[in-house]
Amino acid sequence: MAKHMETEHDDAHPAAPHPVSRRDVVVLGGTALIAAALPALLFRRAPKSLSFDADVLLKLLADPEAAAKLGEIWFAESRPGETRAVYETRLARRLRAFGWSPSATPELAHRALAATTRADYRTGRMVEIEKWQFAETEADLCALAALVMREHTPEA
Amino acid sequence: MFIDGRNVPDGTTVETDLAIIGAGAAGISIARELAGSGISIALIESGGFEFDADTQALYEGEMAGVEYPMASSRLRYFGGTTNHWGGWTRPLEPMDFEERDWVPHSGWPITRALLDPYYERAADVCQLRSTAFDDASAWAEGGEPLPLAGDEVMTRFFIYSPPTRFGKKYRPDIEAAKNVACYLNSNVMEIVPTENGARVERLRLGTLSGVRFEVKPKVCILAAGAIENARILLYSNSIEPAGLGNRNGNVGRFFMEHPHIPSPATFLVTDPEQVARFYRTYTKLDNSVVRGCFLFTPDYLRRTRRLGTVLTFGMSYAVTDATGSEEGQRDPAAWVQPLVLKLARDTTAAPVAAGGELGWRLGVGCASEQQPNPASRITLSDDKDPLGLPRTRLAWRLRKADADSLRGNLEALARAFGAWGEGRVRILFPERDEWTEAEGWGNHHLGTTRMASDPKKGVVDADCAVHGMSNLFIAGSSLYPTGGTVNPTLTLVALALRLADHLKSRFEQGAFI
Repeated sequence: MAKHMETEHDDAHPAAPHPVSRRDVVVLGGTALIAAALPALLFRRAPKSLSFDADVLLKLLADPEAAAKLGEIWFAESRPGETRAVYETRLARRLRAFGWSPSATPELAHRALAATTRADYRTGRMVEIEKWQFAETEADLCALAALVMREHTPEA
Repeated sequence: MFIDGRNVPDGTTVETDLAIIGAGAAGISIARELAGSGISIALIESGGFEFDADTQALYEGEMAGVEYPMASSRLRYFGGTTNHWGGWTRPLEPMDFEERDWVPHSGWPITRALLDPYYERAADVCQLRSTAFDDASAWAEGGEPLPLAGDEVMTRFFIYSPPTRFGKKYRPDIEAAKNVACYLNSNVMEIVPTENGARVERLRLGTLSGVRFEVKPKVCILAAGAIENARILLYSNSIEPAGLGNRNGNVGRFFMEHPHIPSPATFLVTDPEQVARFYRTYTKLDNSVVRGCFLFTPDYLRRTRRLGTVLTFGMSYAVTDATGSEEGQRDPAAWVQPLVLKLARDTTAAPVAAGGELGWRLGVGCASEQQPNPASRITLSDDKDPLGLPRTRLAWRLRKADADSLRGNLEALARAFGAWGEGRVRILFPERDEWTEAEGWGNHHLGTTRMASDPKKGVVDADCAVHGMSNLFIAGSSLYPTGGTVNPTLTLVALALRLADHLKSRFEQGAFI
């Protein structure tokens, strides 16, 4: 409550830029240089590293084709975005929080997946696909499976 | 003793200690409790011993809100609506009696603890062989409750009455009671108060055959059901123009039901063996017939500021890869079910055994609480029945908040199933901007003469006495300030027994001389 009152009496608009110090300029400058170089690095390495992650993640599914069908329904219903890297990074980030790594054993990987999924349900991070309520992690896996499947399906 | 009102000489006046209007679950329960007490009782019933179409037609009325089967949801003969009662019993939850700051107009003037001893007695009246409504260990022979995750959903139990047909079961008791005269085929055409409106002076009765007679009671109990209780008070307006007990305009307001949604969701479970027998249907266990249900915990309801919902399982079938083609006609989306189960088995559930079933699909039914709403109400129609009395006009109103609550509760169920890991939930009840049509109802008429300590907020006080009147009491589910989620009969019988005790003690004290 006190904080709220402070904000009301503060002239700063929430969206207004913060004052920039000399130290910030140095840090931001360095970050900008790295950012400029990143696309080139990603471009050179991205396809391999991203597909590596996808393969590892999709190995968690006994029937990726079934998951891909759910993913396609989700795309059609809710248009959640179709960039593979978004799903890969998000899934990897979530799973890592539960002890997963690309080199994890299948048992450990499944334990991490189960824990991530359960945590999603517990905290209400859910997605609706064909009225079924899924954990966000499950939906992301389905989306990833669908995108990978598309890459392997010759266009008509 | 039974007396056919059609044979009473026209113009007769019957003097009695107590008149009970309505021989349904409440009226019969009170008459039985006071049988042999020395209190003379006139039990007044509109119908006879059997269904009669002309008498039943007195229930016909006018609809102004959500469509509702006003006539067919009730029965107008000895035994009342228990003549088609399904027998589902369960007490209201302790929280249902509390004032909840997120539920406008909530709060009973009595507590569940106060009613508990009467629930025990009501269980006997309803011929229950157990009252283990909350104790899964009592039904362990039927399996274990589902180990759903979290603290939001709980397994509880309905216990079935045979069902008790009060008219058939207790007719011999009424017949044998020397102090009870039951007037059949006799309709109350007006409860006439004294000039100052403070006491009931007499009841004007009439039969469809044209006989008119009167009953002069020291005390009167109105126990004609939640719709008819309000109607009778409203048309008893020769002295009080707005109707009896209606100086604050509350009579007829706050009509509630339990909206029933036949298929609000679908469950998938990987292993049907985990779904205990008692969830699936009427299950005979230890000499009782019970059914497991899901309710939402008080902590969850407080935290989320929602109304209650009760859910039971419905039809089930095994899900295989062929489910889509087999069930496709009944449910075009059935082909998705195997995909869902495969995904669940990949993420949280046990892998499918070689050659084993993917899982099972279970249907779900539910009944939900609705917010008390003053605009959901009974008034009088301009149309008249064959006795010349105004018919009922019912405007049942549901609110967006009622729908939001149900939808939110279904999402909580999806969380509990998903985090458990062996189940998933499909929610079929959509989000709604308004709720103008009911998919179903429970034939549970609630509210209309609500209990409240403050006369401005209700029609009767905590002793079921009409505010401002010394000798008019009300029994039945019209008393409920809030409806909870479960079937009302057990509670209305408990309240009737409590009222019987109260009146017995008041008569013994000479309060009504």
